[in-house]
Amino acid sequence: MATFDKLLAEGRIVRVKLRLGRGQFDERKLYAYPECLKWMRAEVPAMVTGRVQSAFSPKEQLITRLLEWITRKPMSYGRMFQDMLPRSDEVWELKTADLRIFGWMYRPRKFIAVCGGYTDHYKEPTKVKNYADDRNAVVEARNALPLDGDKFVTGEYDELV
Amino acid sequence: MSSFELDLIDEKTRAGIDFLTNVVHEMRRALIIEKSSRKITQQSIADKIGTSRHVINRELQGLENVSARRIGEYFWSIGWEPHFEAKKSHDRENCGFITPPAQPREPVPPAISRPSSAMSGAGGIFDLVDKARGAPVPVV
Repeated sequence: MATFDKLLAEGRIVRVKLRLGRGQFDERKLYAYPECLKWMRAEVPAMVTGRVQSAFSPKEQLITRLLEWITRKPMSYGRMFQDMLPRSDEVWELKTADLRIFGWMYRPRKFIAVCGGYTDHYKEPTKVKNYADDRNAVVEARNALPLDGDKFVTGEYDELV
Repeated sequence: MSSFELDLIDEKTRAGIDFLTNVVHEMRRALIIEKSSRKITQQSIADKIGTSRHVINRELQGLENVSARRIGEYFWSIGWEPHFEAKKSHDRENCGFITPPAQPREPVPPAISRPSSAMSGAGGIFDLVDKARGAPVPVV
């Protein structure tokens, strides 16, 4: 078993940062599994806007949402961030028009992203993925992580986010 | 590797997104306040502006590149007014523009005895000095 900091040092989890402007501070933390970070860096930039027809590309949506998360902007429940069913799994989903990022809350305001997907891939008629598979992937990844202490936090939305 | 800076978009795009995000957050914040105190809804805003609730909803979700005009109309419809002020960014003094190196000051032409009438013409002494930088104007 290892501490969270040791897992970070070993690269099992990566702290994801964004360039912050004057007056912006990282008041929430974002971590990602290396595979998820690779998805953000390699796959998301190649994606195009989906059926929601956002005026912004998926990579712009990603940076916007992550910036909102990190700088502790209000995150409306359901549309921007939510826990998945069944809630007992304590799996959370960070959302944009075209992206879904699945992970869990390690501690209040500390989200660990495990995997991601393209929204249209979860919806008919272009459905090729299931939310349940990603939810299970998060649970498996969390279970496999040799982390000391409580692996996730529970509580009310406003306390966690 | 314990941390990584995700840098998917260029500085220009980021500047635009940052600004728009702040505007949309302000639009949402104002609506939340007005919803609780005056029961203002997206539909009532849409009716007042003359558009559909669908459009207002998309703008509040951050799906649209909201125009400055719409921002003004939106806040007008709920009895607010936006406040916008730009200021120089000290992080990016030159913004990528090349600042020309400081030019040495041209030597002041030697004092010439000139009649007082030359000083009283249009432009006066300044006119004369400017011309002197190109082709010296003989002053009689």
